Amino acid sequence: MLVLTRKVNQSIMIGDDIEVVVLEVRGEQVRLGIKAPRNVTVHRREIYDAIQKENLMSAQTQPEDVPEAPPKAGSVKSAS
Amino acid sequence: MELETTRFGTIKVEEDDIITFPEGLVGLSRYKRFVLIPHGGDSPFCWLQSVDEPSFALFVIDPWFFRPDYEVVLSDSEAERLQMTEDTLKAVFVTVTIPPGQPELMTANLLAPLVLNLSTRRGRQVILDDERYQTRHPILEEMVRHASAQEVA
Repeated sequence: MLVLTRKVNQSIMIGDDIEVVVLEVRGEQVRLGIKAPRNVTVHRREIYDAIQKENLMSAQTQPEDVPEAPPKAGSVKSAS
Repeated sequence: MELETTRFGTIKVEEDDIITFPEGLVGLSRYKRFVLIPHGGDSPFCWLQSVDEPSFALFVIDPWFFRPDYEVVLSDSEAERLQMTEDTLKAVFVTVTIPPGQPELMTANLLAPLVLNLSTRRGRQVILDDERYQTRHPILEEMVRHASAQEVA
């Protein structure tokens, strides 16, 4: 991994058209600004990871675990 | 064409049935072509079966089936990527996970819906910028409540 030291308001370029600016450093938190072309998606890593995990879990769902159509009000009432 | 699948055996699909996700799914860019297979009967669920990988099928549902107030707000760049305008015929699905043997713990990923442009048959998994939605939203209760509301109506 490339490691660079930057100060507030300094930035790095990734390729020709992606710029990451350090906007603010406050204690343990760093605010970053990202300038990128519209076709580049930028997401927090933990959200990306959570979605990837859900996609994999969804694909592991087994047809035999799928419930029949959900119980309807009528059927619940008649059972009581 | 005939499509081999792990869950459904060999199924017949038309080229026109194929929905292409040009960038794949979030974190799974290798799966790009899918067909939608209804779970069957009265079930609101469907499977998005990969055309390229027989064993890969996402379990999905139309989110409005249990969340009539669900909102998908696409950014301009997302709409552009999907070549969508307000008039475009579209469909939205969310992935559903059932832990093995525990359907009562079923959850849906409301944060990252699959948005389909039905005219171009292209799709994209969009990450919403909306704090109301999460990746593991329990849905069974809402499904029952919604079904009851429909029954009453």
